[in-house]
Amino acid sequence: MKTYPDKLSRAQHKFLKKLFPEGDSGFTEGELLSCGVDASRKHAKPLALVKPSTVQQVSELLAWAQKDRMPIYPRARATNKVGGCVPVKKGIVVSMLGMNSILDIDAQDFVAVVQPGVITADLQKAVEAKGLFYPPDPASQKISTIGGNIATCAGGMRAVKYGVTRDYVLGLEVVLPGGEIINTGGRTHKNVVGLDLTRLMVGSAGTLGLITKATLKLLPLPETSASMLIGFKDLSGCLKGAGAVFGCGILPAAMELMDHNTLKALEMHSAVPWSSDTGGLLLLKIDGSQESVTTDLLQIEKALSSVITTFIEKGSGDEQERLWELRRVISPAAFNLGPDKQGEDVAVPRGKVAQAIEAYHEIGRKHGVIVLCFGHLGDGNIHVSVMYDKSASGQSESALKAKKEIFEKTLALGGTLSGEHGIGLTKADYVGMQLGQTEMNLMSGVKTVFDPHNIMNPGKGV
Amino acid sequence: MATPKACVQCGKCLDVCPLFKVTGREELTPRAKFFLDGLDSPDGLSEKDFKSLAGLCLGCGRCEENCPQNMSGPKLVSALRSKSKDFKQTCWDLWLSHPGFIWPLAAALSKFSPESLPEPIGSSKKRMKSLFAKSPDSWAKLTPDLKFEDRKALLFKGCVGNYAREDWAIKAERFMDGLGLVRAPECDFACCGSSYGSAGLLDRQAKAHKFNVDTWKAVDCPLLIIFCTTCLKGLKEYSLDDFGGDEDLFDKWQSSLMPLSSLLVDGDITILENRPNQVIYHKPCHAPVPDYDLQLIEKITEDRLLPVQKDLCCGFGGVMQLGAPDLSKQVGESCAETLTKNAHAGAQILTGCSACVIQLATHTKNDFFTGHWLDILE
Ligand SMILES: Cc1cc2nc3c(=O)[nH]c(=O)nc-3n(C[C@H](O)[C@H](O)[C@H](O)COP(=O)(O)OP(=O)(O)OC[C@H]3O[C@@H](n4cnc5c(N)ncnc54)[C@H](O)[C@@H]3O)c2cc1C
Repeated sequence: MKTYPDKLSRAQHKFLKKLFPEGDSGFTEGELLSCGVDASRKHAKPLALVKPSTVQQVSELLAWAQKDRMPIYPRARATNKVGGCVPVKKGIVVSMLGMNSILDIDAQDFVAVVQPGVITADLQKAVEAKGLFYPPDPASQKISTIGGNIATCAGGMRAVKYGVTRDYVLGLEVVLPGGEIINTGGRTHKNVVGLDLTRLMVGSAGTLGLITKATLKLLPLPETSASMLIGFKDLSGCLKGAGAVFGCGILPAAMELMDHNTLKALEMHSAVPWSSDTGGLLLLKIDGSQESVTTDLLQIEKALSSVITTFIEKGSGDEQERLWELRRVISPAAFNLGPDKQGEDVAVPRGKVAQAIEAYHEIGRKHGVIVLCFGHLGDGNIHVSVMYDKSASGQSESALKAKKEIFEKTLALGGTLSGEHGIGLTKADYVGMQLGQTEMNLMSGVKTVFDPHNIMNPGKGV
Repeated sequence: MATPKACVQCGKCLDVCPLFKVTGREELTPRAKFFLDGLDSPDGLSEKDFKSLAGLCLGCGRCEENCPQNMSGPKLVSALRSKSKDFKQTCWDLWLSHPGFIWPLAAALSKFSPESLPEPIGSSKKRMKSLFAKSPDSWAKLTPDLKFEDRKALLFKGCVGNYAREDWAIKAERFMDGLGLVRAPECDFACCGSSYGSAGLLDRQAKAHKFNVDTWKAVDCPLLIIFCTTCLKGLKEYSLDDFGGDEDLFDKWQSSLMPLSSLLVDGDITILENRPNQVIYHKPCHAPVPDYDLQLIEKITEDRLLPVQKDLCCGFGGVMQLGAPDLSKQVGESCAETLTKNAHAGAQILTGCSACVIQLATHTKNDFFTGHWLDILE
């Protein structure tokens, strides 16, 4: 078993203070504890916190860390839910929030070049002001960073039409353990020279290197969009509705599903627009030119008239955000159903969604925990939240059993353990359920090539 | 108001916390404070360290508005501060309870304090000058619409209006006369209680509430006219307990609170020639919805109002003036700089909160005047 430094030597402390002067390094208990937790609510205390503002600083830091076998824990806004930022082997937390400039937005090349600490929504606003579009839109877009999104390959609601973060990363500047700075990919939208290191880095969750710059692909901004919230009596109604929409040949930009427990959590959270006989919801968005959106909407409504709905609300322009806010607050609103949450974001082949959700509910009933399913129906990525009460006897074990069974069912249906949140700490023990030994060996070989001394985010799965 | 649950570490508060935005220090965020608060010893901080770190909060309340779990940073901090009092709170208490005596004294002394000294002494000369500032020439003449007949009203002047800027109070009372309000017999109110609350001086706050309610009752529950956003917030926060559980009285209190600007927005306005080319509105963290101050300023500035930036905190932070003056200054300077980024010399910053006026006037370059909207009305 590898051992890492338990505390900083005087020389190490001095080195860090010199490389990160003034407020750019932190060693107080308050600073260390605060930078050791993330949205998984798991936590650990590192030996130091540093806040680089240049790639040279990062390079010097990683050269030193390699030499001293010092763990490096990249950290952005810490909104990931899998413990990706938690410094389980102590080491140094590297906050990337200070590298937060948008370096270039080019309407001819359709690219943006950014530092990793830029908040995703800020980039979106900046490119939209120039008539351009950066589609990946995790629900956390206002509170998470491009660097974090790339490191986790964040998905979003628009994935059904536009894909996920990896589909928009053209090139990266990455600092490797040892301090070498590499450039992967480039500014072109096509590039088949060499193995695709860019794609390898995307989603590697800080285990291969530290991303210090990204070149992102942009699209022309669609002229307009409109949204529709549609209520159904139950889950099977929702799926019939979704079938009707896809059946009329329209690819919505987003198609989200909420099951009856999700509705219950939202009802307890704030005022909701749907009628009381609603047991499932579809929320969809279409975008394009003014004319196409108008005709698409008409066509969708026509298609929906063949299924039974309980309620329909439409919105366009800014006012549709009201509908989407409902979707965005599900995650916190879920706590209305139980004080503790075990959130999974499994994905199944699109045709298996109904079967999967019904099975997840059954698993919840069997173990006496509340299961809430919502998420990206359009791409089969379902968020399954198991709500329970840690303080009640046996509930923690029940939640864990439910988790295992949810994974088993998902894999049996041809799905994956995580569609977008990743593995980190919370799912590290389960990876073997999905990946074969040979595949795992290959991956660990790749990891060794990049990070021979395992200093990058050690203790985590990817 | 929905009840607070537990912090889920989602990080939404980082999007709005002015301390974090300006300093980039994660340990100052509400998220970190709630996390540290939930740690049991020996994992966590010592009580003393936790208190001094958690106490670094400007009390703007933006985190609570943005929190899906209804958690409030300022409430956590107020509760902590109330549990064990320290020297800073005693000083702040003194500052708030004896303004008539201490404020002029501090102003006189501050003239001798060199700017090179550390905060809070370094800025004190300019701060005291801002507290006792004089209005520039007015540039808008407002004749209020006659709205009331025989309705009794009292001006709630607030500490600044009472002890430093009597001219604001005099103007406000003139407008009240113009509105047709009949002045209830003159009486002195105590501090609205807001600053005591955020400093954790909860006994003081309760006493101030009681005193103000009794005073208001003694003159037959008149309308209370308010020109300071923070006073308005402070007075709105009185609870049923402050009225001994009397619901009718409590309702009457709530409906008697009137922002002066809400009564003036439809007045007759004549713009004078000396209107500045650019006016900036600083929206206080505690601005009510709807924000009548902004409506009034929009009306008198017309196209000269620069786009309003709604997410800036001035960094005043009450007891932070004494507890962490450097942080307060850092946020104040950043706010002033952002507000005036596209402004030319001579632009005026107007706002409706007395504390924001003092803080911004202290940290804005001398090229710009900062004041209450009452300053420029005639
Ligand atoms: C309310 C809420 C809603 C969410 N919705 C979604 C959603 O719809 N879709 C989705 O995919 N996720 C979602 N998430 C999860 C989370 O927001 C994403 O994983 C996001 O991409 C994390 O970004 P961050 O800036 O917070 O990164 P962090 O959480 O700080 O870091 C994430 C991982 O990336 C690594 N890392 C960070 N920066 C770098 C870098 N520069 N170089 C190398 N490694 C780095 C870290 O070590 C960590 O392993 C949600 C989270 C919350 C709280």
